[in-house]
Amino acid sequence: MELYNELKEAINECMDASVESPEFKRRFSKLIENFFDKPTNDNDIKEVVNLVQISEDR
Amino acid sequence: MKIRILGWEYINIRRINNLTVDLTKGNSIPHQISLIMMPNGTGKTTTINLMRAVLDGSALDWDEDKVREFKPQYGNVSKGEFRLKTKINDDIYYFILCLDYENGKAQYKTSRTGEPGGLEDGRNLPYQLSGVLNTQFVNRFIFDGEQAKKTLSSENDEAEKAITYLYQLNELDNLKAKIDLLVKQAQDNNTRGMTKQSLSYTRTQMENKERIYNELLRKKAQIEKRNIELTRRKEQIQESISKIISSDSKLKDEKAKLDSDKIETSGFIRQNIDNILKGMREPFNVNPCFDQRLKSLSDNMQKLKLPKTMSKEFFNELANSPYCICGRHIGDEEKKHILENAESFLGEDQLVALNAIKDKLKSYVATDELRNEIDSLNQNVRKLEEIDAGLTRLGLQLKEQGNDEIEMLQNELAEIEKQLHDSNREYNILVAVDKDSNSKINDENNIKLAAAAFNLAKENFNKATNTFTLYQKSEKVKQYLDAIRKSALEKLKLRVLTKTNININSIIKTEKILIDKIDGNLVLKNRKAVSEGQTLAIAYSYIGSLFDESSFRFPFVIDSPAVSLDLSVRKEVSEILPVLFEQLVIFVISSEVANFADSYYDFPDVAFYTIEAKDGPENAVCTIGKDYFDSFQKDE
Amino acid sequence: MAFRLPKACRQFFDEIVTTGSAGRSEENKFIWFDAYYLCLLVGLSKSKISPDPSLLEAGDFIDNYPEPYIGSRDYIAGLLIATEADRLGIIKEDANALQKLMLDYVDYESPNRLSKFGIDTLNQYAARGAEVIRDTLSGKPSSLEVFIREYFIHFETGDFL
Repeated sequence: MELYNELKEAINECMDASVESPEFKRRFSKLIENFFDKPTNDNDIKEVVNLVQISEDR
Repeated sequence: MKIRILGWEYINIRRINNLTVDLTKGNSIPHQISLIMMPNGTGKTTTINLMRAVLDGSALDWDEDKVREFKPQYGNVSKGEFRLKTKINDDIYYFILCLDYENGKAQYKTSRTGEPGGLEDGRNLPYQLSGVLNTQFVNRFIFDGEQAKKTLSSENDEAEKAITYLYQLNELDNLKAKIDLLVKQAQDNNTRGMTKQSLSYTRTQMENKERIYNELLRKKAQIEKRNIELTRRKEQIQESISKIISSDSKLKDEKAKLDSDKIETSGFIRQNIDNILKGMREPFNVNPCFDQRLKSLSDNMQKLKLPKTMSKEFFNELANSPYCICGRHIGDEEKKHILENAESFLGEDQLVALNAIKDKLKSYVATDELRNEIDSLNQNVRKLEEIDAGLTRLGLQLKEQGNDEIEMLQNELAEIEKQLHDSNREYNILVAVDKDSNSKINDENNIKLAAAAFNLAKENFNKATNTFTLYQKSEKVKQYLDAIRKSALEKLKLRVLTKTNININSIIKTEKILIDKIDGNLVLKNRKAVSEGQTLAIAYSYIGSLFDESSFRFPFVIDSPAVSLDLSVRKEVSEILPVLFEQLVIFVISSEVANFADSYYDFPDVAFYTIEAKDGPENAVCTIGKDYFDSFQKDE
Repeated sequence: MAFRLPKACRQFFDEIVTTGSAGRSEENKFIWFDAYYLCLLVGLSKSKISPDPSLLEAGDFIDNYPEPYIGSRDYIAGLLIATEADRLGIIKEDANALQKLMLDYVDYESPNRLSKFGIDTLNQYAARGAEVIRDTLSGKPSSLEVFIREYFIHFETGDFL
């Protein structure tokens, strides 16, 4: 389903401000779009979450 | 995607029995406005509820009684149906709700043709609508006048909720929940392979800490609630005691005098405290020992002529001595050092400061003011005690006169004060923000510390299940989703706001009304109060703009929009609605004809339907036409 | 380092600093510096300090005298000098020692009149005073009126001297 403009803008702004990989940004945007579409694949969600970058020093 | 209602059909439905209502004017195109006259008791509410249920799918959750509510009272039918005929873009859809009265179950069917053979099981919406039509959503285009007014009321956040649901921002919350679920599943999966002992400790810790934390939150709410009740009861008791005393006319005057004395004396005490706080800042007045000390120092400084300039003589002498006054040997190095630094050792400035102190000490005068103020305080406190004793005595007097009630009340009052005191102590421990403000707190009795302990335990558990990384990542994704939700909402609000203001402007021409922002509800610019008609105009403008430019165009079904409005307001509302909505289905009762329904009599694209019971309470018929509509129940 | 509140002072006074301020106008509130000052007076009166730094809170609670106390800075400086002279055993006639003491505690550049060393010492007197108050009074006070009366009574009876 095509997302409406405001949501697309909000996603783009959020991703632009983040320091994630281009792959994550792409797939995360897609994930949201697909989630609105239903039904979703659990695996999709898992894969996207795993692409997030976190700092190792904790 | 354009959705229109073309009509509906009742089969074996209470109060109506069997009836078909057709809103089209041929070519499967409905009138822009369909006015349906349905007196109260003829099934108006039933119809609207069925429409909602057909569209939002909620009938699957109905229990047996709810299903049977639609069964006709007379006659014995085992099944009923409600069919809504719709047009979605260019396609016809029949959405059918099948009611099995015997078994108390509801079921959905869909048909594309209307023929019996074409029935599919289930509510089969086009995929664009399938996630969208839920109860929250449907309530925004099938509603009544009261619902509309809520958007302006500051007592709810209807306006903001409408945007959230219509634009499905709640789906982002669902996605977050889904992520949490996946993380939990991963944790559960991981634990299966590990030894019980290694996991059970961290898991138990986490569950314990969570339990404690939730307990404390519950306790806090409990105490707050109880405190309110106790305080209320306390006030009631005090009022009762007061009343009892006042009701005895002899004692009434005495009490009045004591009350006013009490207020006056309390005021004096306050004044005393103010003066004491001010006065105590001069230490020589606080106690003679300070005065003595300061005076002694002052005298001594005078006598010794302090502060004195260190003469150059002194340093020269010192530099040439074998030993310093501190006892150290003075060699060439030291001698050089002393002579070099002599200049800076006692500068003028230090002298000034010391002399200032000396002058102050010399010139101050201790007074008895503070002492007197303290004595006055003591007196006033004693007086207050006497007054309170007097008030208690009045109570006792009544008791001696046989008034047990006062004694009971006073006992209860004492008990409540004790309870409040204990409860406050516990509460303070619960809500303290750090140990500095309350040293008795720990992570089992303080909410903030318990939350921190819980988070720590959660982290440890995640670490133990090797899902810590996954947990961290999922938290980050959830944060992104929160940010996106917030940002999207702000943008949507702006868009809706702008459109609403354009709408309002085109409707209300007599004055300039603007929405300033959407903060839960709609907040007007510079104006707090608008008339009822304007309220509705604003609400409808808002609702209209919500759906505008969205990918969906819905028909609007309104239940009795005019019934509580006066005549002039009705006219305003009747003019607004067709401007804002593309298809309107309006249910009215006969009292709404005047100035509302009748303003549509000359409207180009409108149809009038009158539904009433004929030949018995549960046999409805539908008559199409303006004249019948107009004359219906006019004499009543 | 500037003025530091003794931990015992914080604990003892926390209720009345809040409630003692309720409903009072700005100039009449019972502020934390009032609490500090009252502890200070008791310490000075006893001529004893508590030098253990762990008795004080870790951070400064205020750098300079608040407005209501500016007029008293010379008196407090004077009391500090007089009390220290006594505590350190400096005899009245020893002009040099007294002058040196004054120079140690006074700083012409400070709006408080006091050097860092002076304020440190003041804090230590306040710490001692807080302990004495805590141990002498009949429990943590919940009302300003009650506390004020008790405070002055203990001066009268000599408990604070």
